[in-house]
Amino acid sequence: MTAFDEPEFRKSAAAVREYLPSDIEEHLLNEHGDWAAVLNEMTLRAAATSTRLAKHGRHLPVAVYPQLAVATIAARSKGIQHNPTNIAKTLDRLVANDVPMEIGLQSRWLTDDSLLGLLACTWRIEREVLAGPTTAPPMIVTMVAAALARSLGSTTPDLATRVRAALDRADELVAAHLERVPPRYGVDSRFVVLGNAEIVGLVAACRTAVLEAAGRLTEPVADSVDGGFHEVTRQLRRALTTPLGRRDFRDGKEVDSLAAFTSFARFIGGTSEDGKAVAAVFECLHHDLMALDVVTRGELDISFDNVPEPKDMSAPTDLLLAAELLAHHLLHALYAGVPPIQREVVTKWLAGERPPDDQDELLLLVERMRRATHTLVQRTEPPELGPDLRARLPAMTTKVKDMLLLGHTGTEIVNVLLPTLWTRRSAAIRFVQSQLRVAMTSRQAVGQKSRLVASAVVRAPSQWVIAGATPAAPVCACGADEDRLPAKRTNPAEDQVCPHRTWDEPGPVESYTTLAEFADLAGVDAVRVSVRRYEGPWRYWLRAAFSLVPESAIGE
Amino acid sequence: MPMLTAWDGHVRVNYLPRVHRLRVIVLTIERTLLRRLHDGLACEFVINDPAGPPTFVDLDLADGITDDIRALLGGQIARLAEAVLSDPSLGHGPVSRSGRLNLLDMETLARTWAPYRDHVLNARAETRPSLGSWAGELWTLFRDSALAAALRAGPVDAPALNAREVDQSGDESEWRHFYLPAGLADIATVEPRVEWTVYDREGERRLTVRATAAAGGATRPRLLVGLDAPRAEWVPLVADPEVDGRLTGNVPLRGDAADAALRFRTDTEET
Repeated sequence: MTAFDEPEFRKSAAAVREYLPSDIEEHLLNEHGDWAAVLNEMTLRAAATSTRLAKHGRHLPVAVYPQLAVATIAARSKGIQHNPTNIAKTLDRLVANDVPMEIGLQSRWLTDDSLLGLLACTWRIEREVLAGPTTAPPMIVTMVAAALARSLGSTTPDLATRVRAALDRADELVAAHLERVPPRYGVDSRFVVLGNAEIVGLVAACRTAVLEAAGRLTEPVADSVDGGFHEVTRQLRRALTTPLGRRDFRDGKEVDSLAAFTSFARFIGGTSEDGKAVAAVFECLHHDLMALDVVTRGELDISFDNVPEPKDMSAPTDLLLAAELLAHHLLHALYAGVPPIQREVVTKWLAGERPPDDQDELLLLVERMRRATHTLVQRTEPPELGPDLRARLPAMTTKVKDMLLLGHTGTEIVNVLLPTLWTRRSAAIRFVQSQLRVAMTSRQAVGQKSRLVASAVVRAPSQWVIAGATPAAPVCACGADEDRLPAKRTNPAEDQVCPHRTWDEPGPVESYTTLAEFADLAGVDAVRVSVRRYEGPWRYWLRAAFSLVPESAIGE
Repeated sequence: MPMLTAWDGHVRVNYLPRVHRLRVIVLTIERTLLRRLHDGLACEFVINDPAGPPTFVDLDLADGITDDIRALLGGQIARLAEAVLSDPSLGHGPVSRSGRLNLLDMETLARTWAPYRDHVLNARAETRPSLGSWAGELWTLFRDSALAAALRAGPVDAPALNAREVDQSGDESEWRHFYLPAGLADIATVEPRVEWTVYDREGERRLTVRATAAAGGATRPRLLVGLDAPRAEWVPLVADPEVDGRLTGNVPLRGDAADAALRFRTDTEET
């Protein structure tokens, strides 16, 4: 007979809190004031649930406390669940479907809890497939995994193998389809906003491959793919042209790419109910806007001074304290609000296990790098660390202490801590620019804005933007001109602007002048205006790049 | 955030044995524009990305994977192409291989295809040809209506004639000119201004290109020219024995030269 173990539950609740996406976090803080109050409320509700269940002879083991903690959060209303019966129901579904902690919070996005089993299964297979040799885009893997799990059943053995086989088969089918169907030259009017023959062909081929694998293909393969192509095209067009407000989505700001991929997921899932199920699971697993999300209040209460020097290091105790404080801030900057799966990405990166020029989760890491750099100008008390981050603190403190001993200061420390993300800055900018462009579809002047933001935000820790004009020159100080990077660059002076600096070269990489040039803006004033008016993703980081104090630190 | 752009580097390579065509796909969710440049090449780019890599390439492989094709595709995609060509199941329909390219690979690909991209997207308002990289060299594409007209049947009937000259055999010809990108001219140690003419001799249509060695350029100029057409060769511009500092090259024309563009590239390798 176990009573509710409050200290244990508080630990679980604190862990869950560490992983909260910023929109939920913000909502909870708004409602309850501070974290202590939030944790108290969660504990209260969990205790009430435990008591209610105990009355019916059911006792909750400590092992399910993480899921219980997740169950107290109402993902849709973003508040804390009041009704113990509802909490118990949610908990039961999480436990019965073996929903792992890693997607515990995300799973709350599913409006249909009967799909929790499919969600958990899809997530596991997807992880397995992506851990092995695969070159399929992760989103396609999710769709095919969900569709196969749905048709064959979640308990089918070797689902991951079957998913891989279906993906390979889809590649073959696309090749055959492209051979049969003549290409359309010029602008393809079948696609509005987003889409092209190759990706649509792949989606159609995936559906055929799934039907085939499930033994449900009722027409010749070629007809299935070709017919599927037309159907996907139609559904995609409808998804992208339905006026806002008529679609069934959560907050009225659905991004076009989400609409496009969700319509793909629905198609691959099959008819009606299956399609909806696969689409729901897909949306749940790929809903995260985290990397492009705007910072919420409290965390980055920045006064944009120069990077401060750590306090006087004469006494060894001071050094340790300074190191711990800095480490505390850095850990928070690097990990807070990052869901469990993506923490692995950050950890691997910090451990030097990530090859440079890798695109996976690059947006996340660029954003975290910016947070880490800005941490250094914090004057506020360091935010509370959850259990996972507290566990990482000693190792990080040691690293920072060593760097302080070596005389590193300020951005140098961050520079040493964070391994190289790119070999050529221009390539990373183009990548980020493309991601931003897709995230901002249907808005005007997207090309200029995406270029402006990408070039201002993509820079190594010890690189910055000059918030002013610099002399225009056809050839850069390092010898590079518009078209080429010379084989041997001349290293520019430390205060000269040079967009071509390598990761390890400290110094300014952009100025209003270079940005105007790159983003195709009329001049320095146009850049200033664009920066102030910009309302899209990474708005905060764009303004931070110019040390503009934001009107309010809260994002959209 | 569901995102899939060409810069994510998800590549598929297909070979269609029946028509000996190689197809390269770089997956993206974005809208694209496809054009056929000549019988041996069609390519597609993201409409809204003025610096992007090709998202679809259709290549004729009647002669296998040539050096040109290898240079255009880059090492990794060329390897995928080789794998596909040597696949044992070849002959029973299309064969597919897929790969993942990183940021550096994608940027190299984008820079290599820049001249084709700018033509397909008409991205540049000016007619100045754009610069591409070519396995360590630089290249550019020159295409204009006068050239296209000259290569079709009938003499050039241009409203604005440039210097009219008589070549050594006494035949009249009309020289037109354009400017190479400065970077390319620099590396090739020639003046940017290049002239070309099409004329008939002994019943044959010929295309001659000439350039001027850069003043003070100590290095031996290295500029190659060729048609942008299937099976076209690269021809070096060599010193004209008659005129000091002038370099000329005769571009072989075949029946399929109509509407072709001219390609230029540097050749800095010492042979």
